[in-house]
Amino acid sequence: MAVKEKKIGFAKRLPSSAVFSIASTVGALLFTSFILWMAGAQPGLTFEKILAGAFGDSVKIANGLVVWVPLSLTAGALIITFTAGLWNLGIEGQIMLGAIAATGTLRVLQNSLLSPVLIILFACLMGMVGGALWAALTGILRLFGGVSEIFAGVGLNFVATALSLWLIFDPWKRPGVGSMSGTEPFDERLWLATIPGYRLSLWSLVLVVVVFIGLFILLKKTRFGIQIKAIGKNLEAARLMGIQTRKQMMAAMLLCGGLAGLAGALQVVAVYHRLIPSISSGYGFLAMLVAMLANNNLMLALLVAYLFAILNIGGIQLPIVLHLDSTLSGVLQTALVLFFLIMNGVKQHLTERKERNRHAE
Amino acid sequence: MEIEIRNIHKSFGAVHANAGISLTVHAGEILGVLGENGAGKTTLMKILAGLQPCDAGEIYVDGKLVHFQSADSALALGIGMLSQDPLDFPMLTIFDNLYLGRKKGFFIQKNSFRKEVEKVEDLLAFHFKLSELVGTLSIGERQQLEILRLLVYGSELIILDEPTTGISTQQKKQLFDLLKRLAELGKTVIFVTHKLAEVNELCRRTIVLRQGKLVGDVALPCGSASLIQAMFGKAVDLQDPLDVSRSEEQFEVRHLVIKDAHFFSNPVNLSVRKGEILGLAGMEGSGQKAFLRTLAGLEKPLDGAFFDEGDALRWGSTHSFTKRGVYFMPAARMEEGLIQGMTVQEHFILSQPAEEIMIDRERSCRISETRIKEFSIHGSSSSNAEELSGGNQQRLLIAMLPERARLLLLENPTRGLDIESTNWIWEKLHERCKKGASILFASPDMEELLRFSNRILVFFAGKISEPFFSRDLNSEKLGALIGGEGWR
Repeated sequence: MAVKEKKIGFAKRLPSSAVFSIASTVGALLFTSFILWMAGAQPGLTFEKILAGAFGDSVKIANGLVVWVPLSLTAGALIITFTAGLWNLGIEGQIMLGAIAATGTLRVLQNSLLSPVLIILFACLMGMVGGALWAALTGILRLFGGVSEIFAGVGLNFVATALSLWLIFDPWKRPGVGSMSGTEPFDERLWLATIPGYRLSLWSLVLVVVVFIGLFILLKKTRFGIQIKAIGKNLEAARLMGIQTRKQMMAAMLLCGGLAGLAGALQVVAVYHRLIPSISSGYGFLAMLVAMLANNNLMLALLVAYLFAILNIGGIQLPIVLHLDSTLSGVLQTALVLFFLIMNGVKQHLTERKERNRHAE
Repeated sequence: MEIEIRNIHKSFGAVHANAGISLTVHAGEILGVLGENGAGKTTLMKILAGLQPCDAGEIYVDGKLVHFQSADSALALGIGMLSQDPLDFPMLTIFDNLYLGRKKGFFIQKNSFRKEVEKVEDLLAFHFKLSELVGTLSIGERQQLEILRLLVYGSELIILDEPTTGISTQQKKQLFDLLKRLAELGKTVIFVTHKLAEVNELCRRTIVLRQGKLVGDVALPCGSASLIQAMFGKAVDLQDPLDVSRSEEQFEVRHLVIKDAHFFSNPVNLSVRKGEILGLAGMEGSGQKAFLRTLAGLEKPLDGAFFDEGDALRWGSTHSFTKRGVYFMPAARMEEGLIQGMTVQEHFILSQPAEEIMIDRERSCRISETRIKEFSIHGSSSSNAEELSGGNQQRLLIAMLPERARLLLLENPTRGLDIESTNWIWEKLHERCKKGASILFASPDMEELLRFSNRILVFFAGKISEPFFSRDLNSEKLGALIGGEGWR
């Protein structure tokens, strides 16, 4: 009986929900068009070029997926902390530390007799540990030092950037002189296998699928998942129910940092094959927008991450073909999030009013 | 004045608030009107006072059929009603407040009106300083002023709707004395309440309403059991606390000094037996909440120790307290107790201690359905907590307390519930006590404290008393202690 009622309610909600999503997408497109028009470009042509840049040929499609992998992994990681009510803005630093730890591991093991597969696996594992430890710092500051995780995270991002620059320019610098192009690339046998002719690794794709299935089980089927949901929604009530709030919040931070670190490690072993100065490429912050736009829904996060990835890849073409800066896709991405949030507010306002009217009757 | 009402009907939508009520009230009588929340008491009184039209039925005043269009026309016939909240003008003087309703004359005739007022005041044996502002009076005094006003305008029948809400014991006594005096003067008083003790104290006769119908017309005083049976349609078993004099002590507090926002308490030494119920009495904010929260491990005390069967509990992590079965239930239901946006079933999953990693949905669904039925929560497993009504949220909170709880620290556990639900919740809590759990609860309701506790601690401005046995107390003694009198 109860289940039936819920289904009816859901079916009723769905169309209006879709209307609001479409409205926010249209709003974002109009807003971006307006900016383009102000900049003296043709909006229609620009969007066409973005699409062509993303889907023009199989290499471009593959490149979109190359961006999709770290973006979706990081978004998935953030959904854990967002569920627990933690604004983990230190995600960028956690990606970087993952990359640094992976690079360090590869450097140590590259001349050993271990098989390349084991070395790569170990580098990924150490990347996860690096990211998790970096997140643990934020967690300790928050849970035991009373420092907001937002400020702790942002502060640690700066430290992580400085750390990677120092490594690139001093201890790990290329023979001769350190350069912004990063450390000396690793031997090709330490590269994660890619599809011949493309930059995309199938292993990365498989990893994303596995991680998301794991996340789904973790958040929906385990006590831990429901406990961090409770913590995120009402910390005090969760504490009174006897949930170990500190422990679980710390666990959420560690898991998030671990996954972010894995994304960073993959950037090293599968994409850049070395440590470069800003190896996180802003994917951490972008993933934050993804998680927000997906409203912490894992399935939606995968889709939104893909949308953002193709906007990123499509935007690369703009400076060449239209002499527009590629940050334009950033404008579109941000506009999408903003319009979605606005529409969410409008929707809430309308439902509340409807509720009030119903009570008044 | 004699009032007779015949076959009064009144509906609000689907709710039949008054379903054919007939009644005669005699001059010089104090009639009690008893009923639980929503029984139709206020509706009937509003009809009688002309504040609300009825759908059908007749009202006779001294044998004559009357029709009221407004409170004005009822007052003109000598029927006045005191509302639950005083309707006066705090910024005006007492004199102006009294004068406002006067119809005679265009100019203010101060002296002649003053004489009229004083004549009534003499009858009632109290005097106001007429030039004072109404805002400076206490709630009790404002009630007296309101009664004075009704009498000045010639009321013969005075209706009071739950007048004892929010006034002190002493003010209540003054009010009752005044009402008895009115009856002696030949006025008729109708006294609406849901509190049995008040009716027994004040009235010679009471009617009982249930679901819009008159179900009892009882001569007083009489035993409360039969009144309760009439109010709720069935006998409610009022359980006494268990005899715990021979059960073992399981919790002990030594030299505990708690801190509140404004004060530190005196050191408290206390031991709690298995199955014992301890009431915490006092005005709100006198330290009861801080005391409960300290024992729950949520706040650190300044000094002292807390032992569970000889083991000292350490403050710092609430979890170490809940692990030992020490649970706190807050009064702020939605803010601290329940989680907005999570379902009833999820609340049961969260609150039940379990070691397994994966959630067994089927089992938790079964548990949730059983609990919903057992605690008569109106709502389903998939309802969100915020969709439940206040009373059902309270039941959910109680239902969530895990079986293994050995010390329940309850902050106002029956907040917002009527007598039946209150008794029912206490029945559930008694079952816990029989299994060996101890209960500490804070409540603003003295009757609840006296009826359900073995012992009572009184809190007054940060001072915490030695425990009193509740059998050695009565509401007057306890009321005085709560007000800060009789402390050594």
